[in-house]
Amino acid sequence: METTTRRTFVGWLSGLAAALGIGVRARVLQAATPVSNEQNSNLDAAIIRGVADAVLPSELGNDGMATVSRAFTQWIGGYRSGVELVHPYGSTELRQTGASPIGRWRSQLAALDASAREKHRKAFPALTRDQRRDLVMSSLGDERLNRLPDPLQANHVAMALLAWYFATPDAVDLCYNAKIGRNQCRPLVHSAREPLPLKNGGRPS
Amino acid sequence: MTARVIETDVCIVGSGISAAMVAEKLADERNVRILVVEAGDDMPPVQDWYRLRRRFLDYGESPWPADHLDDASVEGIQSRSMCVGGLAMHWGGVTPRFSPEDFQLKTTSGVGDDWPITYEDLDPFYQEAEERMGVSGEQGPADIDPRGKPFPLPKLPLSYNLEKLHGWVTAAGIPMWSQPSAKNSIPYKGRSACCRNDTCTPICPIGAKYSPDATWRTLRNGNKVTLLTRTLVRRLVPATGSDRIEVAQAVSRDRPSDPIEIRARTFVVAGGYVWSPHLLLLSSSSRFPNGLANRGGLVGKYLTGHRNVSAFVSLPLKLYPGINEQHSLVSKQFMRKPRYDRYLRHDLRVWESAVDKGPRLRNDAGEFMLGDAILKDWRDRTQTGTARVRSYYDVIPARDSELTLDSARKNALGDPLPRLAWRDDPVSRDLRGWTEEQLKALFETMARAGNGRVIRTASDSFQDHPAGGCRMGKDASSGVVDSWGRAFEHENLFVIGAPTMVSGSCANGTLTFCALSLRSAQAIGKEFPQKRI
Repeated sequence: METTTRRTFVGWLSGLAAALGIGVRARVLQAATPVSNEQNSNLDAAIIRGVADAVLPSELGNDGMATVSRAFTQWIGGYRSGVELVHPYGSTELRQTGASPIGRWRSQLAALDASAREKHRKAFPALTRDQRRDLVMSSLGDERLNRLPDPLQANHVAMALLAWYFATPDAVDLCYNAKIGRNQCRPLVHSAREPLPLKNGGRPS
Repeated sequence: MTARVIETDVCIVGSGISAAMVAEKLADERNVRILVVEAGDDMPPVQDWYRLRRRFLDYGESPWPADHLDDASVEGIQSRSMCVGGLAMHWGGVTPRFSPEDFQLKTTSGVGDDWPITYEDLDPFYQEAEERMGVSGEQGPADIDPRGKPFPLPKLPLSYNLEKLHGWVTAAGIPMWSQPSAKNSIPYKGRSACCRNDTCTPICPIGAKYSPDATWRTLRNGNKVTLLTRTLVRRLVPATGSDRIEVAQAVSRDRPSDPIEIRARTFVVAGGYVWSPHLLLLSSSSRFPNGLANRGGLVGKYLTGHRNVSAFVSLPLKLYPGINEQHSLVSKQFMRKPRYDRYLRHDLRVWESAVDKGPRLRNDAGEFMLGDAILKDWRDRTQTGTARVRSYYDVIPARDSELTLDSARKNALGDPLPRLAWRDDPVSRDLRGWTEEQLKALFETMARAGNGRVIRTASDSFQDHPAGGCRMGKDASSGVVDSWGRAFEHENLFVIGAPTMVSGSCANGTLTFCALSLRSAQAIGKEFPQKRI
């Protein structure tokens, strides 16, 4: 059951963006529809925020990290298992979404926190960025792939967050320092011009 | 069990894009009762499309749930869709015309068979289809892109990326222009202009891309057609002592034990390349032991389509992938002017692409990266761009490129399902390897012209935009139907659209399906009084 219609969500989003004055964050948030129909799907906000800080580009800044963390949590909260996937082109195969990784991810976040307490006698969010990154790197283990995976297929939540972020239109804009706005409703006539640069190089103002 | 009887003037079996064209033209021009029978369900209403698209983008969920029948999984079929709107609920909205040579392959190239109509015969119906759907297009060079009238809508503008790529292909000596598409460049027929949501396939969230549900919505709201969903037509039955079709026997999927009889003056089979020949074969009887319209043994034969070769080309151009990913440049030059001694016709399209320009986990030295390092590596590699190029090429179908009834696989009602087997005519079979090498060589030449390099190439083995199975001919020995789609053996039975095609050309066939269907509608309409305008 949906708890929020698109219209009310977009209205809420617009208000938030206006209040914070940060378009880039609003666009990241828009990538996650807050359709939460699985119980207790929230990841530990402080730990996932700490993971984000360890694995995402520092250019996002504190506010950007927080926004991405929140959007990622909302995104996985909206995941539904057993739903038919889009038909593969040229195939009769029908596939469905698999089991939610949320339980596994929650355990991994708890394990990171336990490691932090054991090694540094501090909670994971209280560690320095380098300390958190070391713990994340050692927990990735065999997850050090060649390619960024489908976030839903990632074995570790840190890799899922990394892959999810770098697949967002906002990451593309940050890379190019340009308002490309992939997959967003944009006037057709503007397609002919070179995309405008981001304000502040994409950093939250 | 006594059947429920429904009487109408025209019974259309299927509700895909060809059916929508025929129903709309008949409703516009004739005083006629039209019943459309669709085995599948209605699709979600437009107001849900943005939400469905969001779920597709976020999780890969199908935006068209329940768009197929679970018991209609078929060996050899290429995409499954059985719903109001049919396969065109999934299409990308690309609408090239075939070229004049497509209709005269035997005469001009000595391969395959000529169609019983010419490009000039079909030109006004191409135009009508473009106007009904709303095609935005750019006139290519007149000698390679002939058309009788201008496109109904202005072209989709070339994006910044496509303008850059246009400079590249021009340097390579290839005339290319904006791909004609059934996507509104300006508001048209109550549908808004494209705003580059870039999910044309599988769903345009604002309906700027034409899909047949738009036509059905208009016709149903105006009480111009009756559309019976979840109703499967199992057989067509000729009248006693006549070859005219009298009844379509159907069942509701909700009450399969309650038969339905549909009586009509004219029956139009609009089930696409799979379900149209399948229905004719299923309708066998003691008088017609091989099925309807099949004395010549051609029902299910000559399934056609086209294969493709594609490549990604790295170019020293600063591009911004994502500006308008699904729009492309197109050229028909190689459909018109032979370049080789051996037979080869192909189209050419060019898109922006992010291939080889995405974020990655390991740099060139194989070092694992996170955050800042990934971003820096990504930026370093996006100072140049990537183009995707693809050519569909002609595949001449063999007679035994065919759909048959599969006695080993049956649907829930016990009817045998179709089995499809695609086979090339020996000409195409022998040319296949050479053809694909020539296309790869073309891509290499193009890359060099732009000081670029081919990253990788691929050849697809499946045949896209499938068609055929009830092909048109001059007589019953060469076709199932005549050039109007009328069955040679049954004067009130029409097969429309994709199945009637003689060959599949080397470009998306959907606009041609529609043009052929409108031409059929002209013949069907003659049986009924004209509306006073």
